This record gives sequence, C-alpha cells and structure tokens, in this order.
Amino acid sequence: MQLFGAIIPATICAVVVLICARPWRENIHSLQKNAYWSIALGLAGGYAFAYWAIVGDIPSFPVNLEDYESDSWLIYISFILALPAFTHNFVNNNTSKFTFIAISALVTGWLIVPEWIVDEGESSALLWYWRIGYAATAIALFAILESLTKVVKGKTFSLICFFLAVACSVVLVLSANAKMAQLCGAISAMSMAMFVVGIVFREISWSSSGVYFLAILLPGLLVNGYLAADTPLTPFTLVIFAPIFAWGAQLKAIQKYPPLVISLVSIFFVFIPISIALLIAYQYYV
Amino acid sequence: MKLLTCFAFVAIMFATTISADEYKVDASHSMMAFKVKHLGVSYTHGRFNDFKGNFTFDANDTSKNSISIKIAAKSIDSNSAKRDDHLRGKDFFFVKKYKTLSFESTSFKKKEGSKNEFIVEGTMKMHGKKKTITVDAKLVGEGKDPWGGYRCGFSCSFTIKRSDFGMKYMIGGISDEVHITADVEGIRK
Repeated sequence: MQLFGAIIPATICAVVVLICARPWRENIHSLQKNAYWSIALGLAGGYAFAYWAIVGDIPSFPVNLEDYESDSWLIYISFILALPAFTHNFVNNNTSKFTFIAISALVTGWLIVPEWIVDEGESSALLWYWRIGYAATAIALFAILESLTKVVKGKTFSLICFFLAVACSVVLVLSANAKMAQLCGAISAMSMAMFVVGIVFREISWSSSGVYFLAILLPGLLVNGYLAADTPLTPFTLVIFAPIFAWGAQLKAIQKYPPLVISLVSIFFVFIPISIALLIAYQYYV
Repeated sequence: MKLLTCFAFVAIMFATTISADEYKVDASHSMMAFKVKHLGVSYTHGRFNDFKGNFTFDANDTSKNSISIKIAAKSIDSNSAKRDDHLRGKDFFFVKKYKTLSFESTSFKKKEGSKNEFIVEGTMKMHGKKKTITVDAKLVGEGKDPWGGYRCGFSCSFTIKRSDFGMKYMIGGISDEVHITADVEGIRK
C-alpha cells in the first residue's frame, strides 16, 4: 500500500505531463518552458490519488472539517493551482506570478491553518499569526524556487524537489505525523518521475507550474504537522528554506566546473540545512 | 417527642433504602484498557492512565443506575514511548485537538436471566465524534472495605470500530475493531 501510494501518483504525474506537454513535438523548443504548465496538473492528480490511497477516501467539496482535518483542503487547492500555471501560457511576467501566488497563499492559509489551535475564549490573533506566517512562507518559497528554475536545469531542479520532499517527509515522520509524511513521500516520488521524464526530454521545466504546487503544499503539510506535534519549529523552517542554499553553486569558483559538477554541488548545498534539520528532529524523536 | 424522633428515624431509613448509591470511581483500582489486532497476527494492548468518573447503582431498581467516565486522551500508554507519541498525534487520537474521551450512559439494565450482568447503553465520545454504544457490564462484587467505606465494582467489555469515530489511518495494519475492557471500582460517596 505504501508503494501503491507513491508509484501510482508518480505514474499519474508523468502520464499527465507527457499527454499535455507532448514534449516530442517538433516545436517544443519554440514553446519554451510554458509547455510544461501541466506539471502542476500532474502533481495535483498524483497527490489526489496518493491521498485516496493513504487515507482511504477523498473528502467531498467543500471539505467538512467535522470529518476531515483542514489539510485535506490541499487536494482541491492543488487542482486550482493548475489554473495560474495554465494562465502563464498567455501572461507570464513577475507581476502575474506574484499576484497568483499571493492570492493562492492567503486563501490556502485561511483554509488550512486549523482553528483548534485557539482555545475557546482566547483571542484569534494566534490563528491570524499562523495564517499570515504560512502565506509569507509560501510566497518566499515560491520566489526561491521560481528563481532557481532559471539557474538550474530541469533535471537538477527535479532532484532538488525530490530531496526537499523527502526531507519534509522525514521531519514529519519524526514528529509523529506519518500520514502527512506519506503524502510528502508521494510528492517526492512525483518529483523523481519528473527527473526521469527530464532524462529523455531535457527541456522540462517546473517554472511557473509545479513551483506553485510545491510552494503551497509543502509548507501546508509542514505547518499542520508542526501544530499537531511537539517537535520544535527549527527543523520545519530549515527544511522549507533549504532550496535557497542551492544558490551556493552560483559562486564564480564553482561555475567554472562542468554542468554535472555544478548540479551536484547545488544539491550538496541543499543537503546542509536538511541534515541539520533532520538531526534536530531526530534528537526530539529519540 | 419520642414518637417524632422514631418517625424521623424511620423516614431517614426509608429514604436511604429507596435512593440508589452514588459512587466515585477509584482510578487506582480501575483500568481502561484496549486491545487492537496488529497485522492480523496478534493483539497489541494499551490503556489510559488518567481518568475519572462516577456511577449510580441500585441492584433492585436499575432505572436509577447510570455511569459517567471521562478519560484524558494524552494518558494513553501502550508500553512503547514512540508508539504512544504516534498514538497521541494527528494520525490517531490527535490529543492536541481532542483532549478527552468520554462515556455517558443512557440506560443501565439487568440482563435477562442474570443476577449480576447488565447491559449499559450510552454515548461514547472519541476523536470529536459521538456514537451510541452498548456495553456488557458484570457486577464483580460489592461490600465494605477495611477503612469503613463501601465499594462496588464492575467489569465491562465492548467492541467499537475506530473508523466510526473518524480514526481511519492504517486500518489495514491496525484493525478497525478495538476491544475495550473497563474494570471500574467505585467508592460510595
């Protein structure tokens, strides 16, 4: 069942991307990166299947919070995130990206930060603190990942996403959130599927597509995991901002090496905060 | 005056005999335990260490009988600290959100043809959801204790489906059916 919740989502994601993007087209180069808007749709489809395989059912829309936890909203949000990705076929500038991610992050924060964190009679300030904190994190992660897509190749970016999702999964499992850890595991499997697709079709890009999914879903799962656990905030924060370290490979001293070395170095840099995060989370686990 | 005193005494005695006895649960001599099938091959046992409750019991007039139990969810103890952390987490009891489990009886009747067995119906609240359940209760005994008090104890057992309470995670490996045993000893108030 565990593999079922990872391999099939990865397959769904790859099939959706291949059908929608048709990367074997002759004019794929002229379409540039916008052709891969469907990564957002593929990730959403795979995530929905993973949720069904891991949890056992899919909540009806709108999500009834008496029967499901607020993070269940992420299934529907992930599909909605395919819309801005598709829209970028027509409008693709920084203003439109910021507008889409800001709206998505604020709405998602409002939906997924659980209201139980505020006890009866207490001020709802804590709730708003978390909602705004989540939105700011999602926007920052989007900015980091989106800018990273411009400096690292598709395959390397897929690998960074893979390790990022695996790290999120491990932090969640160490903080006793196995269900959400499995969902992150499914995201890592889908990232690996994109890496494999990228081996054949080198133009693959997460830019303005899958980046929305990662920037919204990974912090969404981590926020819910942190609030439900007793693990400190540090490992969650370190993991989510780990991709910023990939910029370390842009140093002039490293740029003189072959592309493969640069890719490996950028992944190595991402591992630094991830390793610290996992060590801290493990200390609280044992 | 003597007649009045005698009348008052009889009235008090009569009142005592018609009212059911109220008991406070003695947690140190009671247990809320459960067992659940693991991977279909064996049972894993656990218990809750922090609970309180009251019950009213009259063997002759069961219409007055009732029981109320409240359990602190975070006190779960399955003899494995890491598993307990997981059980307290979002995948299972989610104790940060659902702090207590409770049972309130709605009827407490003698089982037909039995002297010391009872059928207790009531509402169980767990994981934020309420469900009506039926509990088999057996009166183990009652009598005076060495410290001048009066005690009464029941052994109860019942089975629930955790999915009925929205606890659906890992139903393949950890069975949906949970067998619960509640041994309750009360001290008369």
